[in-house]
Amino acid sequence: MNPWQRNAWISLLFFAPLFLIFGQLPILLVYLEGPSFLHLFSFACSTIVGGLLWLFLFFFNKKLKRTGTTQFDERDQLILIRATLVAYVVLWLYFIAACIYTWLSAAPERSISVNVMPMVIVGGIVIFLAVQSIATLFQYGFRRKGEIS
Amino acid sequence: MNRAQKMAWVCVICLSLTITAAFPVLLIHFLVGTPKALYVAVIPWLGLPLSGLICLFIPKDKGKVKRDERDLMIRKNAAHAGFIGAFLFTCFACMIPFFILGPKTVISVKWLPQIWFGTSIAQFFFYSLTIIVDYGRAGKGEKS
Repeated sequence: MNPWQRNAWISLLFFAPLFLIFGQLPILLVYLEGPSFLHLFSFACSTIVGGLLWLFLFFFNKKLKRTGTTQFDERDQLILIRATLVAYVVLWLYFIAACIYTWLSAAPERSISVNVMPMVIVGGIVIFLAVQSIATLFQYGFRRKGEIS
Repeated sequence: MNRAQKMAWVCVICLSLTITAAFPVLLIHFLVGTPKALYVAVIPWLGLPLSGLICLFIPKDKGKVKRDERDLMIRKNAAHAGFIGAFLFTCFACMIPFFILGPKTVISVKWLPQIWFGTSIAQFFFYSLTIIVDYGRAGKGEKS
């Protein structure tokens, strides 16, 4: 199992559930205690970092390439790009379902609580992380092909 | 200027007009508050299908090689930028009502498709803008 497969397993088993719990926490705190700058800041940071975490791999790879110690070759990069693309497609479908289906299924004069909207974002990020990890593992295959950890 | 650059310019121009047109409509909606303003709000979103329609009429690139590694790299960067732009737009569109209006308030379901359309516009706008920036504004020998 190479480091990128290990990262995908960690992301699938730990980061996605943890983000589901800790992403909802500021929403609950705002609901109970009212909005504050600290809650806004923590929620904004967690969603933006959580949603754009996959970008760090590309920056990390570029930095390693300069030093000449990279373990991230063209195949790994292609797998990461494809996994990100698959996750992005699923995220779009989820977002369409969340926005358009709600609008179509509910009567036009109906309203929703604003609490639902940040929950949609948190749900979207969790789905993105989970699908990206599953797609990465699926592309590497479940059997070893000579990857060295 | 190749086909991708021409399409990017069309998208950026149409979507800039769309974004510019959206502000007066939103202002009318909030000032007047008439339900009809919501129907007018559909007009600015026409920029997205309009840009797609114009792109259909842009002729395809001539020559045997349609795209090389540099083009693919630019498109990959543009796709990343489009994703980041769309994601940030959605985050802010969902967070702003929650933190400004307060957690106890409700909003109409009519705003949900507007957010979705806005996200689509952000995606195409940042994608096109990155293509223009990466290729450079001045031509470097790309042939259409």
